[in-house]
Amino acid sequence: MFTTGSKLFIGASALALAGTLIYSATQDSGAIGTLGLVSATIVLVFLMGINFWVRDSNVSSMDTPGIVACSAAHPAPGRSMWPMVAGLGSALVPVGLIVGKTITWIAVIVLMIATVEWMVQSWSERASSDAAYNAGIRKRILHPMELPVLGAIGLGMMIFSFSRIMLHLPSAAGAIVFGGIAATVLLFGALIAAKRQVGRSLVATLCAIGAVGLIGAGVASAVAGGRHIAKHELAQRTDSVDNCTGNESEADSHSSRAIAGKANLAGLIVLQGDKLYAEVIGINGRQDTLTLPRSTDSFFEFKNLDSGKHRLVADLGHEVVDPGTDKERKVPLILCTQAVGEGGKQFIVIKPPRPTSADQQYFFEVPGIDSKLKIEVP
Amino acid sequence: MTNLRTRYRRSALSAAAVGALTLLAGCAKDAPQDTFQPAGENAREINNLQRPPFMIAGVVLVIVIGVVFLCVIKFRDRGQVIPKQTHGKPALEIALTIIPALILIGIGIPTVKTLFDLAKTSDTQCVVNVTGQQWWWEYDYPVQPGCLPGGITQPIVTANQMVIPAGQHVLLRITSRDVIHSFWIPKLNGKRDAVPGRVHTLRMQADQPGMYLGQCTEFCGLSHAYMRMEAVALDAPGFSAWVTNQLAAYTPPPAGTPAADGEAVFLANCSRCHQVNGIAGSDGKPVIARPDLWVYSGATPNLTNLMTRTTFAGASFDLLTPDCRAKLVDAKSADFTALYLKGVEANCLDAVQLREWLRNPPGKKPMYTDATKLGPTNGKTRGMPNLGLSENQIDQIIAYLAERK
Amino acid sequence: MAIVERPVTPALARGGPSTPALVTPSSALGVFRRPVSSTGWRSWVFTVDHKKIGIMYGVVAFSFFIVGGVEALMIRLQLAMPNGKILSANAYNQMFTMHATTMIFLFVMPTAAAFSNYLVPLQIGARDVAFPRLNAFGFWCFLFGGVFLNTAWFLGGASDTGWFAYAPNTSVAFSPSHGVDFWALGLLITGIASLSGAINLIVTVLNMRAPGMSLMKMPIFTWMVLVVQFLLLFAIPVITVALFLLIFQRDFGAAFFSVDKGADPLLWQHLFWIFGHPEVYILVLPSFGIVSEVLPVFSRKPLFGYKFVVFAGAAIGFLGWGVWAHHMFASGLGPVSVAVFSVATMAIALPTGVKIVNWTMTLWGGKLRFTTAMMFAIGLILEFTIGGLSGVLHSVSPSDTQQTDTYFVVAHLHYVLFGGAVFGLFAGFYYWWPKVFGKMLSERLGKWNFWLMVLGMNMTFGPMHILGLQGQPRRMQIWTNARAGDGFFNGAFWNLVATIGSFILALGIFMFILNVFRTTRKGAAAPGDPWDARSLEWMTTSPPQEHNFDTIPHVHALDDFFHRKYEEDEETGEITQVSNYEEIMHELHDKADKQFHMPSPSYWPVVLALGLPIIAYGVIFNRLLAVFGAAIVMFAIFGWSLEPSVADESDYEPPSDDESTKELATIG
Repeated sequence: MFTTGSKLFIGASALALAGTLIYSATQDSGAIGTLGLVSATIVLVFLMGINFWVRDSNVSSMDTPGIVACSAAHPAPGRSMWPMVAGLGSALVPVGLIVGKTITWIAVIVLMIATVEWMVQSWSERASSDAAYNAGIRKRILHPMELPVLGAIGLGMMIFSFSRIMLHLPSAAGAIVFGGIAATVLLFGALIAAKRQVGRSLVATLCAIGAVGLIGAGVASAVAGGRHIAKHELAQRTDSVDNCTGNESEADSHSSRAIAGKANLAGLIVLQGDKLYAEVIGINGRQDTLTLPRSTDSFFEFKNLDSGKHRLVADLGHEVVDPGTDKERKVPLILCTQAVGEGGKQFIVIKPPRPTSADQQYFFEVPGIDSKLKIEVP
Repeated sequence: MTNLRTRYRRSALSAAAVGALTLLAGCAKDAPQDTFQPAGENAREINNLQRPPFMIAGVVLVIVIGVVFLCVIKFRDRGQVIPKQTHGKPALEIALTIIPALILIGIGIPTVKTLFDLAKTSDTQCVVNVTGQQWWWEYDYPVQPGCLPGGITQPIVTANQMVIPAGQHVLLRITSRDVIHSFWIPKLNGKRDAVPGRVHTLRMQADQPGMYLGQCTEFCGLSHAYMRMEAVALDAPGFSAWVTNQLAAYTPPPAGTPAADGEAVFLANCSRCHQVNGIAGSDGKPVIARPDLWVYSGATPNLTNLMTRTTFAGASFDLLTPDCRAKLVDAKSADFTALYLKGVEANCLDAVQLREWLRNPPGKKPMYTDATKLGPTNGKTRGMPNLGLSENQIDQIIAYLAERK
Repeated sequence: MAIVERPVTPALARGGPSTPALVTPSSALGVFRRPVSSTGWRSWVFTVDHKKIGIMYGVVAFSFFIVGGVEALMIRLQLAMPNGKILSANAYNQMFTMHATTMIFLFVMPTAAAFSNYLVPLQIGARDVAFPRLNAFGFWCFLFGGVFLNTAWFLGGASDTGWFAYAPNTSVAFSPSHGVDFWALGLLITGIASLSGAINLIVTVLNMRAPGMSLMKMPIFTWMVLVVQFLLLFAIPVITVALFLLIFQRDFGAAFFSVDKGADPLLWQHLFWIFGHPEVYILVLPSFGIVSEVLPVFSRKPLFGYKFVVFAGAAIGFLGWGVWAHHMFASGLGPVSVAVFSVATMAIALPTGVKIVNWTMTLWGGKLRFTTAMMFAIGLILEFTIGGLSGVLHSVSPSDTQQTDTYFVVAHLHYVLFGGAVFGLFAGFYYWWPKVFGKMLSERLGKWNFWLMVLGMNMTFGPMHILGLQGQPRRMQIWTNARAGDGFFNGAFWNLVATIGSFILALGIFMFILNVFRTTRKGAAAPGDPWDARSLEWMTTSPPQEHNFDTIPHVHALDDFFHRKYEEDEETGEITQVSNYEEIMHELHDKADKQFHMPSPSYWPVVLALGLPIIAYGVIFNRLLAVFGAAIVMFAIFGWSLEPSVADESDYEPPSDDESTKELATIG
């Protein structure tokens, strides 16, 4: 069998070889790098050979009958994957240095994990002559670290897979799949709970199949990409009223979901029969002038009762940017909602910064329709 | 033990006295914010609703005190045998649950009815926008067909004192520019919070002309105690006159007077934040204040008609001398309108308060103006900073402001 | 750090003689041993004994009571006269914020926790709570959280937004000091204490009752504690979410309460009051439980309508979740919501009324002894009735829009929380003091304490009814003569009366402190059963031994201890004494268990709790510090999970056949 030490070098050699191949394939002008990596591979393979030949220069593995005789005194170290992982880690370091930071970090983390695990394992194996006890103390030390990390990784993979699946499916199918998976889990849970005699291995197999299925589907969905998700946006700032007639974006078919926009509005603005009018609390009838407090966020709902799609535009004059500096300038303060189809609604929040005056007038308007609502700001 | 008994009697009596005093509190004289002295329909409706529960609560309290008191003297340990170990009488329990339940139903039905009555907006005759800001209130009168016979055609903005036509059903549309405030004129209605982003309505109606005081009742930061309001009800002609005056064209002070110097000082120091409608700069162009560039919450009181209102700085300080103030507040409702419309006359102006204010506003009323601590608000103040005016400048500004009516 | 315990003998034995131990792990592998001191400060700091933890809760909470009380006196001094000059606006705002926060989170809740911790295991006949280390952890979280909160005073100012902390006034722009951060993080830490305590006590009550004690034979105090723990279990997560939103809003640029980004600030109010209203019952129900224990003992009658009181408590627990918006009647919710919450609020008056009726009926026909504990209990009935009735008035929502946020509410809440909760706690202090410390508090000083407190509280909070109805809003740094009114009901007079009253109240509380000092120094030793009490906690020595009971009693009835002492003639109802405390104790001692299963002390709860405020300081001042704190927390969790379940034999008197020693074990 492979000895512990040679496993390290097997791993390292394999990774060095992989590194060489990747490097030479991806880096055009890296003759020296390739040469270095090839050399490293050769050296590592050589060391692996020697180590394998001398069986880690370990008496117990060289002199098997002898150690069997005194096994009671000092049990042989058990199987271990950590040398190999450590080798993997150390080989990944140069790969990372060449290819990119992320891989270096992964390599360092792998190396650290392997070191700690290796140390704790070899320490625990010498702790006493009772193997069961030794395994126990290893668990005692490492489980508090291993289990949360493995749990987090497992959970992360499941969440990732599941979210990719849900993002990939159309939204209607998503609900069905969601319910289906929940029902399946519940069903299996109930079955297992009801039939206590179900074997552990069967349950484990089912879980494994489920996990593999989930992760597989998740990876497939991730590769296939997410479905198209509609955007919900508030009114957009723009430089000119004319910009508000532009092409429809997909946000146009979805109304805003601002929480505050749904309660206790400053008013309702309606487009009906090519006429724009406002309904406000306390003043009966349709208004063609609105009075708003200055510098205050006022929430309005725009309702389109006409055919065709329309946008509501709030023209609030100009705003001074960077006052008191060299860069002081005026920019137009114009807001427009998304386009609203017949019977649709959209929210707009406006905050007129300065009062209206003879040369500074504010309006609500709909591009293409000759009807304006005057906004008075005292 | 007799000592104890008298002590209990005393405590029972004092508790009853507290209850009775609570009820009597409604009869206090001249308490400007008394919640049991309605001066308008809405407050009266609340008052009619709340009086019976207060009475019932008083009666229940007296009964509980009486029974406990009875137990205390009747069953004290006089060496009697250990009583029977009764574990309860379900019938009594149920009876004593049903009776209060019936009382509560009796209170609940009118409560819900009143609640919906007070939320009505359909009978509105006049609308006022009320906007809270740290730490003062702004009132503006939207363009509307109501309030006046001809309606309001040009919006009006004022601060600290809200002028309404007496007798009319006024609807306040309350909102806020920064944090949550609460608008409350106890004699006219209960309170309603001013929440940024939301417009809340509150009905107001004053039977008679007069001045009704109130105070911000939702804690709104540093200077909460200095955020007050006064509702002024005027008779119909008086309200009409007030509107006309608010919209009157600006008359610059005659050249060479201290007031004219004051206008210059005002333009140099004050007009970047405070609007005086119609004021023009040296280039003849109208000057529009931009408080939103200097003040975090975005507005400052409009000073066009400062001297028509009798208070300043969140209605915390009077522009009137105490005598003149007392005369105005105590005026009979028939005389009130005329007296109020005179505004702050020269012989009534309490320049001391105004001067102290102009010398160092944050010293007079706590505000966030320390330039070193304005990082979180991008250098904008919350409140009026100390402008470092000289005594001479202050005199000139006061001379100028004294004419703003 | 005892990372690894020594292999126990059976493990070696399993290997058999063919595998002699060449290498044995030594206990030196662990750097620290499990603490074992039974005297000195170590025996307190590392204790997991529910009684010691209970006492520590009480001592720390009472210290915070003094802090909160001084804050209250400062507030009253500032308001004694018009245009008060004692405190600046900024200081005043911090003062009333911290007064409420301290009294609620650092005094009443932990004092109730003190009583629950100490008494629940004793009342249900258990030897400790279910998770002793978790219990200790809860206490240290409370202590460190409370200290952390109060260090804000020295690090740029405490929170100045009120204990209700309405958004958006809590945003950095409106409250630029670190006060709100301290407040939110401090409450998160004390919230951990409440939550872990709640889980612990629920498990304890449900699983560790003495044989024969069905739920309906459980002492009423334990019942109320159980209801409160369920309230905590559901309420604390809500405030935790709200506080996290707040911290993210302030420190990480989130926009949960930013109106200009489309948020609605009322979100905070809903979250806060969904927690905040059950919180009121969390504060007051333990005191109801205490009073329901005290009244029967000194009336020599069982609690009238025990089942009704239990169900009323549970009903309050349920209904308490459906009334939160009555704190928001002026917030502009619209008439439909307001109507619903008005009616729900009226409904909750019924179970509360049931309690008052039952207490009064417990007195009726009894044989009343007016000890200080009894007087506080009767005081609670009356004072709480006043608070309860003004509460019903608030359910009349249109009327509430006149009274909310005025001093009328201040009066109401103090009658409920001082007249209700605090009076109950004082009744508990006097009633259980002999059990806990083995000494009788002086009844003479107790009477002084009671009467001064009654006088003081009615003088302080009674006039606030008048001030409120006269329209004086709460939370105002100053009031002015201009709005105080004239005549007998003028605000100036009553503000002064309230201030004088607050000092009388403080004097009353000082009497208690004096009483405690004198009792500790030269108080008379208490008999084991000084009040002729009724429930299990009295069926042990005063103070109880570490293992509570020599043998776990079998319970046959509600008020089991009483029924062991007295026999009731089934026909006439006549009561005859058949036994007494000494005889019962003797009997129990004779049957004493040979081996007790007691938990060992531990370092980790206190270390783990210490990491939390360090993380919190880190969030405020320097993220590196937070990493350091997180490392401490990780380290402590690690140590905790690795801790051997049994202290090393060589560290402790080894188990022997003699019945006086204890086997040590722990689960939590």
